Amino acid sequence: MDESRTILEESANKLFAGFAEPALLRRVEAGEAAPEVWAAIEAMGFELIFSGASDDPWRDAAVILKACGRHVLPAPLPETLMTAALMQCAGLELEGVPKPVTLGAPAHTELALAEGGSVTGRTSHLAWGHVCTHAALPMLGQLVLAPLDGRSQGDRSIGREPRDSHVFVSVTPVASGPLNEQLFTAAGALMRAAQMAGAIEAVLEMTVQYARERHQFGKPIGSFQAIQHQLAILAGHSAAATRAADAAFERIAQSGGDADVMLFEAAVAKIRCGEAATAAASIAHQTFGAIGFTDEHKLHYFTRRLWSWRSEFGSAGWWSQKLGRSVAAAGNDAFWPMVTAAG
Amino acid sequence: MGAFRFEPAQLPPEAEKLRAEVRAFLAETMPGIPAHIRAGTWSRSDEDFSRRLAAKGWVGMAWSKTYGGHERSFLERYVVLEELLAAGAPVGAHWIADRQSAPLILKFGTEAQKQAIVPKIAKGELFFCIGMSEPDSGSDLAATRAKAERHGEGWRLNGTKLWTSGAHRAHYMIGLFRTSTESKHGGLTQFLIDMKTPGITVRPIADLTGHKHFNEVSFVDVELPADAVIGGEGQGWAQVTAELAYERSGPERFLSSLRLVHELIGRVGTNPGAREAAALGRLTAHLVTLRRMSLSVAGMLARGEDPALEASLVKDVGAVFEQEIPGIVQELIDVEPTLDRADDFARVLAELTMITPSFSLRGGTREVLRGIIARGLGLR
Repeated sequence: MDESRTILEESANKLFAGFAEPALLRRVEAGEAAPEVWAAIEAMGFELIFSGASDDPWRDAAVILKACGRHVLPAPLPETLMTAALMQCAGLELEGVPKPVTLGAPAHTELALAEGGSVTGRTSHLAWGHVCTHAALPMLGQLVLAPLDGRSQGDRSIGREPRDSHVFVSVTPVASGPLNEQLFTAAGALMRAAQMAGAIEAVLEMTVQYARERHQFGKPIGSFQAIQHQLAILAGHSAAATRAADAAFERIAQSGGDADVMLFEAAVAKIRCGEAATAAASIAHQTFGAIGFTDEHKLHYFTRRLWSWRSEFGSAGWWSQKLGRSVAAAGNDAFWPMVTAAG
Repeated sequence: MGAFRFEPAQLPPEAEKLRAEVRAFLAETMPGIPAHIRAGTWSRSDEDFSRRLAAKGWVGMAWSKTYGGHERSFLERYVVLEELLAAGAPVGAHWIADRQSAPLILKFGTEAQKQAIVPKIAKGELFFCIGMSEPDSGSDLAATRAKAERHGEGWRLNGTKLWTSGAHRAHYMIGLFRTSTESKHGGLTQFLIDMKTPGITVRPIADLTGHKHFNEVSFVDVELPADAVIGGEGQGWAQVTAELAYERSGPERFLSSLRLVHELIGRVGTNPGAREAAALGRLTAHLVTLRRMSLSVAGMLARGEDPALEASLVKDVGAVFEQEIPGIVQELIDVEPTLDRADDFARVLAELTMITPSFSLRGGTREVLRGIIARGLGLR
């Protein structure tokens, strides 16, 4: 990894680690605002990666998104970054729009064109909607950036992150441009995949540490082969998830944001990271035992998010069907060339 | 931050050019080979096929021209290997010599050994086998009991090696023998053994498919010259450990069931049902990711780094993947596996169903690999 990206990774991890405290996470999960988190992000300029602050925004975004997952950052930085990425794909700029912003999923959005170019309709499952100024939403082959007026209705995911509903009545978008609506799902899937990869790395580290410290039968539980082999399996999933997420962003960067590449990479990353998330949460909880199942312990801040993120913007099963259909349609002679062309 | 890291590896443009050449060669040579033989790929030997590959310059690709090599990059070699495996080429005859025996000799051997042996491997004239496992020493390799004693100027070998793939065809073995009982790991030495030496008996062992590719090799008062030692006396364990990084991370560690994925795509057709599509998509995501992990390790090897932990992770995750494929396919497609009908799908399913147990045994068992990974995590 090049040096500037290593520095970016270190500074993001350092900043986000300070917010990964159960006391703060509990407050935000209960619905309290934590403006200091967003202020600290803006002070570093992390939200501007797709707005001119980086000359390699996709690869830098991967680093930031994994760090967000690794520290279960309680703020919509991933959503802001991927909204900016989608805006770029639609030939639009996010400059001048106050942040944070978020993006909606086509499966949960129904918008129609109303009088004078305004839009009417609704969206739900909108991540962090009530703390965001605008949402990028799909409408008739367009990306529309619609202002949110703060009256979002709050649901929460099992990660206890806000997933809001919002009704639009003759709202004038601040920007719009042509964009394949499947790319909303792809961008969301890429975002959640990278967050999962980061969170799984954190889960691996905390579980290994616990296995070395916790004594039963007179020795550390990590000295038992039964535990060692479970953690080896977890390490394999973590390695695969991280490579899948990193490679997705690398290849999108190489392709200059090509739509077909984004769809393929989103599928591979969401499928692989989703499966890894399931295994990681299961092995971590089994290793931690009862203490890891308590509200007091920090493990659940990671595992509840893994369970939530693996379902959002298309589950592994949803993406598997989509990818499988395209593989089958191309036929068996095209299969291996497709695998090698993916790099 | 973590105990392991998989950096991206980009294949150079010349590697992609080479890929086209290999595909053209395979398009010519593969159609005559039956589907269930293709399913076996690197566990199937065809000496003539190996010599044709050598004539193309695809054996000994990364070695120095001084020793008959072709001085291509490690990543170019990777591309040739994965294309051969993906096509199901019967590359077993030269596979071991190319993958680890010659690299071992080049790294630890004497100048005379390098000159005498390596150019002939590159020509596809010499094939090798590996004498590691024994009847009482499988995963516990350091428990090796077959012994080599000094005898006159040279050595005298006694003992038994087991599960020795290709010993019946190999011209040479690189065998691990005990030269001292004072230290478990420090008393082992590797020998270059001409398989025609008197006192060596090779007894084939049929595997559960009936196919005979591995053997029991017994040594009774086998006399070797002094210069048969490879590397240092007592250095066998360290040399074997280095050898295994090459053995564990290659594309053969996750492509073993690829023929069956091809057959599955053919069988489900261009408009599959939901279950079939989901299974296919999942396998694709796993395969693409494993290949990227394996390429990353190849890049580390090319840079001279030591990816022992990463290699073990690729082999462990790869074996789980290639091993689960026959079961997944069998649940999706209602066809009985058999080798006795001229139905490629049924034959490939039959062959792979039966050989999958070996995927997590050969080259280090799953349990040994997970032990290595646990050590890398700091648990041992």
